[in-house]
Amino acid sequence: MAKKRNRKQRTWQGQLFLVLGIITGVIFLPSSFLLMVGMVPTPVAVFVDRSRKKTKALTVGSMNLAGCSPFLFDLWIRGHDFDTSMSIALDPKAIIVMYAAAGVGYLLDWAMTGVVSA
Amino acid sequence: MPRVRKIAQYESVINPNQATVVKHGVAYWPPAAKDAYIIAYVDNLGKPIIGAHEKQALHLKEEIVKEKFLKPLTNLLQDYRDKDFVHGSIRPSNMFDGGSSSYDRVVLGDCLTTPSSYNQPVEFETIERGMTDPVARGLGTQADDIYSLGASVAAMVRSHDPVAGMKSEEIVKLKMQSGSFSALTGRDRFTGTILDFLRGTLHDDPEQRWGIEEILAWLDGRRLNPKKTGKKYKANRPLTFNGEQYFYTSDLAMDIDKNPGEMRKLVEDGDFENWLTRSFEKNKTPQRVVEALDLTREGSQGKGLEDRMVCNLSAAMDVDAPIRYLGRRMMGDGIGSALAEAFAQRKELVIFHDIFNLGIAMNWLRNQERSTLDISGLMSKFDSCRSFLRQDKMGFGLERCLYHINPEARCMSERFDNYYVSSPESLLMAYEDLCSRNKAPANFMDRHIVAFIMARDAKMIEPFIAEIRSDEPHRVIMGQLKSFATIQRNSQLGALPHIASAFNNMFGALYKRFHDEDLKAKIKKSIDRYVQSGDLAKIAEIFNNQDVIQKDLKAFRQAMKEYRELSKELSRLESRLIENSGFGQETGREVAAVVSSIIAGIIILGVAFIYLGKNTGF
Repeated sequence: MAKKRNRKQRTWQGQLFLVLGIITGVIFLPSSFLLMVGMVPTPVAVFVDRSRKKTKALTVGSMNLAGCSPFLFDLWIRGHDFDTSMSIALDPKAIIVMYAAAGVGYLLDWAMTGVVSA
Repeated sequence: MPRVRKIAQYESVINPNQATVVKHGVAYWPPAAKDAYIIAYVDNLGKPIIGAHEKQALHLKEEIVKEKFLKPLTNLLQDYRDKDFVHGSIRPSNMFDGGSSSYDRVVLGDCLTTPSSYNQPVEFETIERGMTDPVARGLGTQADDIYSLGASVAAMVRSHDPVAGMKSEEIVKLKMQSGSFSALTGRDRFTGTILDFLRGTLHDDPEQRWGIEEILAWLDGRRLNPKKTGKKYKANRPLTFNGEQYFYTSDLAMDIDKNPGEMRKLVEDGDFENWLTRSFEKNKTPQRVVEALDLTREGSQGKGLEDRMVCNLSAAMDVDAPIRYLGRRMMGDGIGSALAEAFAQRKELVIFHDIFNLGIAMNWLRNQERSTLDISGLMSKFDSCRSFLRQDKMGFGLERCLYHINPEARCMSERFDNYYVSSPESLLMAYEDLCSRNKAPANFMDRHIVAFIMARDAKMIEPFIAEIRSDEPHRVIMGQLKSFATIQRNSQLGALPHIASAFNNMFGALYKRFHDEDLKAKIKKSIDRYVQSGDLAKIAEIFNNQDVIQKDLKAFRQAMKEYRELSKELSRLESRLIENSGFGQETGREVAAVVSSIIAGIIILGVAFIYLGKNTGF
């Protein structure tokens, strides 16, 4: 019964987030596209992180977003259209920066864990 | 061992010619420095007619004996018959002149302080009882009293003692050879009617012996024809055994255990059976002997076979004789007294084991033909004893046999050597005294005590016997306490504070059974109060309160459950700590998340400022 109730709650929350996400994604489709490409390391980190609080995913996700932010602002300034979004997403330099930022997140997680638990 | 259970019967006889009991009961007896059962008589007996160590011949005139002795004593015996009482100690040394040298009031002395006939010289006992160990002569019958009266009268009227200086066995043999009348009158020649009296009362066949009615008729002056002596079967040719020649089976039966090895040889060679069948074909002896030999062969063929065989053969050849086994001579109803004596004097007890276990007593009983003997009662007792000996547990064994077949026996436990414990109540009183002298035992029950209470009043101990026999100390103490509490309550005994205090020192094992410390303290407080008042029943009730025990047990189970759950939780946490060897890693990750969030926030803000500055001209 408890399991069923939890699944029901998650389904309801998930549905809400899904609807909101879809609406936002459609409204801000260029930004959504850019983030979908640039934030790939974050869902990977969520999947990889087995801890209950998913702190590693948060670390990686925060740095990944920071890495995406210059290109996101660039998109917004350049007119926020799908072509610009596509050109940024296909720019290897941009991809390297965004993914490298996520890598810094991994680096930060490893370093801080080592320092604190030592 | 006094005949305590017979005192009431004795006292119910109101007759001036018997010693009058003033008081009786257990009291401290300074000469022995211990408790004893004391029977006090009125001190008006006078001198004995003949002293025990004097010549047993008074040469009194027939008229004096008849008037002064026989008339009053016959009346007394008549009273005894009416009250179903047997004196058992009629002899000149126990007859007193009442303080008058002319024998105006002859008084018969004590018969209660010892087992029946215990102090009787063989001369005044019948042939069969004379053969028997004094302690094991059994209760006796009125016919035995009449014989003793006849033998006493013989001593009064004769001028010399024909058995003076003779050993007991020699007297018995003389009686067997020439008959009691001839043996006790010797060369004296009597005239007048006293001759009839002596012949009648000294008849060796109890069925033919005069009874009270015949003596009364004789005293009234009627002339009675003396009864003929029953024919004693004599063999045509003798049997040579142990260097002597025997014509009578009863004579052989008496000497048979002097050389069991030779007897066995005679039996195995067939000489003995040939002699019997040829000489005694008209009576039952050969058949009895065959049965006795069959019974002997049924048992073990090893050690003790010869002793068993001669014992069984003796019973078959002389049915009126006592059980003859390993030097002991016992009547069936005298085994109880003999066993009590053996326990009291720490004698060898194997004989009694054999008597019950090997069917010796039963075989003796099967051959009995006397109508005065309670054969079915004795058979039932012997059968019970045999079953008691099959079990070695407390409450069984030879101790139980003793108290079962001897209702007069006091408790023979070594603890009560200085006490006279004749009932469960007196047992508690003896313990109360012992405890007051700081001589409380570590364990209140031993084999004797358990068997004694079981035999005297089984309901006082039987419900708790499993606990008393238990190996667990708390159960043993509880069983003993409950048994003593039952005796105290049922007998309405007063306070027993010293026993209670001795028990209190043992209660550690019982307190341990309670788990709740508060409850334990509360119980201790209550127990201390009842220990002071000596109420064993209340103490037992407290320890036996099932509601309290169940509540305590329930609470303990609940506490155990909680403890188990907490232990589980503890072990779970400990295992988690062990598994998370880098317990700080989680914290490190959290720090990393916070730091990265701050850095990301700063970067995003910085980038936002740069881009916004470019486009807005800041």
